[in-house]
Amino acid sequence: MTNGHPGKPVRPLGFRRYAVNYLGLLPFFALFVAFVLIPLVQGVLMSFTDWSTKLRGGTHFTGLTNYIYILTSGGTSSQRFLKSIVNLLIYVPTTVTIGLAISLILALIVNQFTGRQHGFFRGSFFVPTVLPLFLCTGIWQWYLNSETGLVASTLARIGIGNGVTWSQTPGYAIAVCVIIDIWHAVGFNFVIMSAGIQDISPDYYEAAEIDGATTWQQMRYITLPLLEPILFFVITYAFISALQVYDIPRILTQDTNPNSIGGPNQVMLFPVMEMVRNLHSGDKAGLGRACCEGVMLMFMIMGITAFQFRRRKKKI
Amino acid sequence: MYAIMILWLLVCLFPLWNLVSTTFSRDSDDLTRTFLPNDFGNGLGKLSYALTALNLIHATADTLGYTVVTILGMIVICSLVAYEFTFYKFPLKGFLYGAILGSMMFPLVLYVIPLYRFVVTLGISDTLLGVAAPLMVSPLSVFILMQFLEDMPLSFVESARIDGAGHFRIFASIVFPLLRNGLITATVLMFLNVWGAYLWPSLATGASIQPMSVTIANMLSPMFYTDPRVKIGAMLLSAIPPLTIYLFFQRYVINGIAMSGVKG
Repeated sequence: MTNGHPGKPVRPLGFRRYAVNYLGLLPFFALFVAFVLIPLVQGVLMSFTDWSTKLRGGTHFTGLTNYIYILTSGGTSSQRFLKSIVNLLIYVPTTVTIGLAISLILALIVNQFTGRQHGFFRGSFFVPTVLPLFLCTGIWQWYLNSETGLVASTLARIGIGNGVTWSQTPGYAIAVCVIIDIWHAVGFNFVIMSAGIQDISPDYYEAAEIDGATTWQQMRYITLPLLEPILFFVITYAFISALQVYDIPRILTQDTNPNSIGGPNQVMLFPVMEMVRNLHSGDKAGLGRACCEGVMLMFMIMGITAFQFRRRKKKI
Repeated sequence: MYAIMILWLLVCLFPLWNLVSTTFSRDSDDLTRTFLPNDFGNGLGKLSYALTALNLIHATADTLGYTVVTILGMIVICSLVAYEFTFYKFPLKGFLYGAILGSMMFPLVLYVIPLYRFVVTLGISDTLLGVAAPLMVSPLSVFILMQFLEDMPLSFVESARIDGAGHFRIFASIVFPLLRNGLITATVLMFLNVWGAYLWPSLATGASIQPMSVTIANMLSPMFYTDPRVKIGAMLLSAIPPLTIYLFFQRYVINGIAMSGVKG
């Protein structure tokens, strides 16, 4: 390799010639295999077994038992998981739609500003994204407390949620998660959209200006269509992140009794929380069930990604 | 338009100010409307209570510990991968690159259960390395570093090779120093992520390591009574490290995020 000029191999081609390249890749890929690939494959395989923390006699292949149990049996794990899916189906579209709408509006407006004002707004809007999610949860737990919280007490005065314990009441509980997630995530999506808008060549706007197009028309017919690839990335990413919701509801409804996590009647229970509960539950096949729930989440994420790829191909 | 901007500005920044104003206020004040600090002595008392009795000092040290280990590991392994992928051709390159790309589709929550069992089996759970090792494997960092390397002329590497520098010598003495901005970007993004991480640290730690996220989360639990001003003060303290990093490296953070979207 010392005098291996590109294109002029001094030694016969072979993997040995590339040994140094593979050596450079080794540290990353060793950890990649150990901490990503193997757990990922193991998770899929173990979802078909009665893997458990308590089982001393070994783990047995049980086929689709876990899947059937979780989806149809009506036992505690099953009932909780199905409830968590229902909550997820309400939570994900709500938070993604409202969150991205706010981000897009802000990005469109902020890009009307230039120079220091632009930098100031962009920098400030990103602050909640910089704050850790556990902290955002803490702040809003305080704000949405009906007695000590600024937001809940103000809303109560205008008749919303008067006397309600937000994190324990159906509907309100999911709203809490949506509010916190939006407060945290808007900055992230806003910055990506804003960068996308700035990538659009000013020539288009100049031409439109000459043709007498209004600001609104320019947004509608130039910015939005040219922003579509970025919007698609942001939508996909937002869906995938929202499916993994864990920190917010887990912190708000923690309890020493694992079956109480998720609030009364599981008003704030989401699939990842249920997965982690199964990890610690010590139930027969607890780990197997947790893996099985992981596989179902994996299918949802793969579905969203596949949808994005198909859309992309159609466009090209 | 200004109205919308100012409104959202308030939504973003007012809560932070409110953390400060409420921490440094009299115990008798109404928590819903304490918009100006009026009792610094009381606030300092709450903060010191949070640092000592709630053990935020310990939590800060531990969280900083595994965050630094993660970042150091990430810098070494990810910059090497970025170097190989950007400057060299070798068999299976496309396959390996695709594997990293594809793995971004599989977030940690999908395999966190087997991963946790694996780390326990290795005997490194509840150690700094155990928390950090899985987090170092960061496809996002690889992509950010590759973006920065792509702007670097190939001639630097070629002329060094003609001068007789070895493969890793070129990496260490030419590529790595020029990668400065990329490394800063990847580092600050990693810092913010790991500092705020809750799920993995909460699983991978036990009695000896106390993550900040877990400490704050336990404090927020309605099951135990904590003085509300201590809670608010503790939240204020936990916001300081990420906010400081953001203040100093704002450009890198914003560009890094923008980059991950535009190229994604």
